[in-house]
Amino acid sequence: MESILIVISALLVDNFLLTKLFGIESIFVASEKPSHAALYGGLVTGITVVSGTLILALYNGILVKTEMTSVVTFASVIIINTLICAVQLLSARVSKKAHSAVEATLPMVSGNCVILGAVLLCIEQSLSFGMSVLFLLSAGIGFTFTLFVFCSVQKRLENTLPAESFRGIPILLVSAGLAAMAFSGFYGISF
Amino acid sequence: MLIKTRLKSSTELSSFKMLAASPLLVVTTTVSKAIAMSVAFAISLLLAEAVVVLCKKHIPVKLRSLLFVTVTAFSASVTEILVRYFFPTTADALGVYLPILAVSCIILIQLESTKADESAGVALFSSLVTCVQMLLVMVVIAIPREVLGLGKLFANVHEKGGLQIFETAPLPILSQTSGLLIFVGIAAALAKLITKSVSKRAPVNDEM
Repeated sequence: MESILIVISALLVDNFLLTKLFGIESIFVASEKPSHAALYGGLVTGITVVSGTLILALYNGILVKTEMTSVVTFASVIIINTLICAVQLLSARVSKKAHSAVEATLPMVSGNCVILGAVLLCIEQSLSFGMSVLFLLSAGIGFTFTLFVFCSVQKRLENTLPAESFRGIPILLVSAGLAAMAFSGFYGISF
Repeated sequence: MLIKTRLKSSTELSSFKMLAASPLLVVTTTVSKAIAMSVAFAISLLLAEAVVVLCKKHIPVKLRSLLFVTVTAFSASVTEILVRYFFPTTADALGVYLPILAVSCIILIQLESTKADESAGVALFSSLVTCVQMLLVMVVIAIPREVLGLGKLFANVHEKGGLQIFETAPLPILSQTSGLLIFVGIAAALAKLITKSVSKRAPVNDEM
């Protein structure tokens, strides 16, 4: 039951993008086309799970034992960026097309708060290792889901004619606020 | 790359900065938390800028992005350790948003804009201006959020739980993230409108 609660919480109730605003800049950058959203969301989810697992192993295995927990943020950023570099190198070996797409997206992934935020929340909530991995995966999937929601929002906004000063990012922020309000309707869910 | 292709003007860039600052703006539910976050942001940015100014000339262009990310993470970690040591209650109040400074887009954008041949004084002054702008934005957003969203002012600082301004909060949604996003969206639109009207008037003055 606890695992179901964690999944629903990370996916909907405490959606990272709309309730904590982690990686909110991606709704402007990556939600233009569904293919962008899928690539960006997939990369964020994959890197969140893999780097999160490594960071948690490092935290529980070394940092807690040596009482150096205060350096977890710095260590996390180093691990996340090392992994991003590895993905960049791997994509170059796979195909040129994949490499150019990934290369354009990865710099934004390295500045995304979802990855670091999810790991730090796992540590803060003292989740077990298995539950942490589930939480990280759900956080990534929830983030990707919200990006797809914003793909459709952007398409609908293209067909509307808001006041000139509201065009672009302002109207996107207002619609994000309305979407966040809709997501807050999930607060009542309990088992 | 994606940002550069999608941002068509400087007005768009300033709106994007507002969007990128949103994770930091979440803590603006009270003025005291907004000021605390602004100070933490200032320490992080100034420390990162100082390190970047010292190292930038010696680092190849290809490795600069990596340098910026590492230096930002380092400065944010130092800031977090300092805040946790000297002001533990403030660190607890800011929660996960304090270490999140390590991947702050605003700091990365500011470091990216520092030119390789820029003197240390100019670069640090430019960062200081960004810090003051950030403080002003945070406080300007925090005041209506606290007054209308909670009905109080200085709720965390005052001994009796803050100055009661309204008996019940008139707009409680402002204390939530959804209210923040709508508020920031309207503020960004107003900023765009003011910038456009000022730039329209400028050529008329030149002709006079």
